[in-house]
Formats: sequence, C-alpha cells, structure tokens
Amino acid sequence: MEYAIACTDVRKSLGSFSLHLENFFVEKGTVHGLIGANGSGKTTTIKLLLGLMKQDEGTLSVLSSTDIAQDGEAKNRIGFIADETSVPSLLNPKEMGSVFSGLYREWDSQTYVRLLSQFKLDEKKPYRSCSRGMKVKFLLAAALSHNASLLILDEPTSGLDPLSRDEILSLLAEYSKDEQHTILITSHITSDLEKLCDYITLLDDGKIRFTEEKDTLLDTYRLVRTAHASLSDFDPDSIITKREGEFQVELLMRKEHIPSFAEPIRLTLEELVILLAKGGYKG
Amino acid sequence: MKALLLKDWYLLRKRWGVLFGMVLLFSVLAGVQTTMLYTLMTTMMLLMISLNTLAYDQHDGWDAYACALPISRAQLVLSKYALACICIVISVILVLLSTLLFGGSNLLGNASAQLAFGFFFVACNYPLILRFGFEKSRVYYLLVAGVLIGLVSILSQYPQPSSSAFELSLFPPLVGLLALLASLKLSISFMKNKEFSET
Repeated sequence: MEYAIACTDVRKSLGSFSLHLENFFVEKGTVHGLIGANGSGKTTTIKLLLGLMKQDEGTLSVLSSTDIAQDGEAKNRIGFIADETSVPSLLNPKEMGSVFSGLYREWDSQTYVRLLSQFKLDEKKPYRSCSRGMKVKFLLAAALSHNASLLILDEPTSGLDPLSRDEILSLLAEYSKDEQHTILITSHITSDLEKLCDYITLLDDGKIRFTEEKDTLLDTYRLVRTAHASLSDFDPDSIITKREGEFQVELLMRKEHIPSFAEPIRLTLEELVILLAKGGYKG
Repeated sequence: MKALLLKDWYLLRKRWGVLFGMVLLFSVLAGVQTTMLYTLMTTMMLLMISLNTLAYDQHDGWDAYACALPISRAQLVLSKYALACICIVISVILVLLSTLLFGGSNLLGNASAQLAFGFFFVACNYPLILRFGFEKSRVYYLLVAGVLIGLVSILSQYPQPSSSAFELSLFPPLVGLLALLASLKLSISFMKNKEFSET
C-alpha cells in the first residue's frame, strides 16, 4: 500500500499541549478527513505536514519526503490551505497568479484563470477586500492550479454559506476522482466530510482516537433507543456509550450486538463521532 | 527569487505613495544642503519601504504561507536582503542625481556614507525582525537608525586623514558589506529554524 502521508510516533509539544501521532497514514488516491474539537491538534498536524513546524520526535513523511520543509520538489506537488497563513492581503488574484507562476514549476495559468472565473472571483479585487468565501476560493484556485497530487486543507469550508460549501466540495470530489490525487482535509462540519471522505481520523486532546474507513464506521455502529426500565435487557458490555434523555436512553452499539427486539437506527457521521468520542472507541 | 521580488514590487507600488514622496524630498534637500543628515535620511526612508514589506508579510501570514511553497527559506531571506540592497542603491543614485543637479559636492563621500549606513542598518535589524517579528523589533530598529545616523554624521565632520579620498570612501561600505553577509548568514539560520506555531 502506498502512502501520501505517513507519521510514526510523531510527537510535538507546544507549551502545555502535546500532540502524539502514533500511527497516522493517508493512503494515496484517497480522501482522508481529520476531525476533532478545537485544540485537539488538527492545525498542528497540518503545520507539521507542511513543514511549518518540526516534530520533536518520530518520523514524518509527505509524498516520500522526510524533510518537507527543505524539499522543494515535494512541495511543488502539494496544494494547501492552512490556518494563519495567507497570500499578501493587498494583492489581487491576477497579481498572485504572476507570482505563483514564478514559484511553482508546473503552474497552469489557464486552469487558474478558469477556476477564478468559475468561482466568480474578481481578478482585480485585493485579497483583503474579499469575503471569507471568496478568500477560500482564491486559495483553493491557487492550490489546484499547479498539478498538485496532494491537497492539505485546513478547515476550507468553515464560515462559508451552504452554496459555497457545496461548490467547493464538488470541486474537491472532482479532483479526487483521479486515483493519483490525495486529499487530507480537516473540518468542523462533519457532514462535509461524510460527503467527501473515504477515511476518517478522530483526534482528541492531541492523540489519535481512531482511523477508520468511513463506510465501515457508518456500517459498524447503530443507535438504539429504549426506555429507562428496559435498559437491563441489554448486555452492559455491548453498550459503547449511552445518552440519557428524560423519557428514554440512547445506546450506541455495534450492529451485531443489538438484540433482535431492538430497532437499530443508522447514525450520521457527526452523531457517530460525538458518541464515539464520548464513549471511547474500542476498535 | 524573482517571483518574490515581484510580489514585493506589487505590494510597494500600492503603499509607497507618502514614503516615496518623502524620499524625493530628502534627496532634493541632500543635493541642496551640505550636511549628511538628509543624505542618510534618503537611504533610511527607502529602507523603511523595504522594511515595510517584512511587516506586511508577517501581518498577513505570507511568511508562513511562503514557507510551504516550493522555495527554500534561504531564498526567502535572500529576496529580502536583495530588496534592501536595491533600495540602498536607488537612494545612492537619487542623492547623486540631486547633488549633480543642485551643484552640491562630496559625491563619493555621500555614496560611501549611504552604502555603509544602509548595509549596517540592514545587518543589525533584519536578523532580529526575522527572529522576533516586526512588532517586537520596532523599538530596536529605530534605535539602530538613530545611532547609525548620528555616528555617520559625527564622523563626517572630522577632518580626513591623508589617504586618498577614493580609498577612504571604499573602507566603510566594505566593512558594512562584510557585516551584511554575516547578518545574511544569521538570518538564514534563524529562518531555517523558525516555527510557525499557533498564536
């Protein structure tokens, strides 16, 4: 199996926060979602992968490069959107196109202009005058215009209206159809990841809780609703977590452990992730 | 590196109006007056323009963005030093033209002082700005500018020793250039180890 990203026992300490990516692998040709609460380590992971930070321990490889900060060849094949980084705010897309064409070896001006037009971006409008949605589209147009084989995107859809989100997700879905293309994406909006991703990794307090194929994840678990009085009918060992309401209890269980008298309910990725994070993933 | 300079050019042409007006004013005064103050202020103002690009880069997050682009961190630093050197040379040319236009003298002395001042200014300030950021280094670089302008102005009042004017004029810029090269090495080392952690 070929990996676009491989992290083994990577550790990074930032003050009181500590990130530990014990085994984090992103298979080539897949879309991998990285989810977690604020401060769980998503942005730190992205920055490590882009070479904006250096790990304290462990091995980290991006497109087979183990020193991504110094590897211009590998960086030519990465498109990115990262938190706390941006193009110069006074420059417009047209000017940035000229700058990027001198920085990326395989800069494709036609694709860039086509994407700007598709996103209805004004070529002469400075970045700082753009709305949040326009800024993301601008950065995404740049990330998709140099024949990148890996996209690393930190919260590209946050703060966007549903139409813009859909537009961006469609574009990423189109990009991911090519088997050589890999996407690592973080988002708070789990429904976006559910539409797009093949794999999901949950980060919690700097540690990986699980990495799982999305479809397997959604197929494995079910929610069962039952009255408080009937709770004793369930094997306590088969209940992963429970959420108590006023009139009933919601139980998260593996599909095969659900008794025949109970009615299993399929969960959305968001519901599942919340319950797994709460109850503990047992593999 | 050309692309990085192009980026700075786009940035400067949108923001240099007032500063460039002051540069022209100081260069005219440098041609008219005999003191070194306006000559050095011309260089200083042009270096401020160059320095502003660093401030914008750090404020916008471009310095971090650029580090994820397929260019080395050494090239990023080099482009900033190249821009500063271009500004110093432009300031020398402006004062030279002004001096010739208004019939001033001491062409060689002016150029020497401007080059030496410019090189030392960049050598002292750039590593700190790249290491600690523009905001934190603000007080320091104004202090350096004041000390350097004062020092060069005082030294220019003293009678010159009996060596030839040409040899004397070469010495300060050469020392400044050596300091600039040492500073460049230091800045590259700072930049290579720089981490863009969350703020």
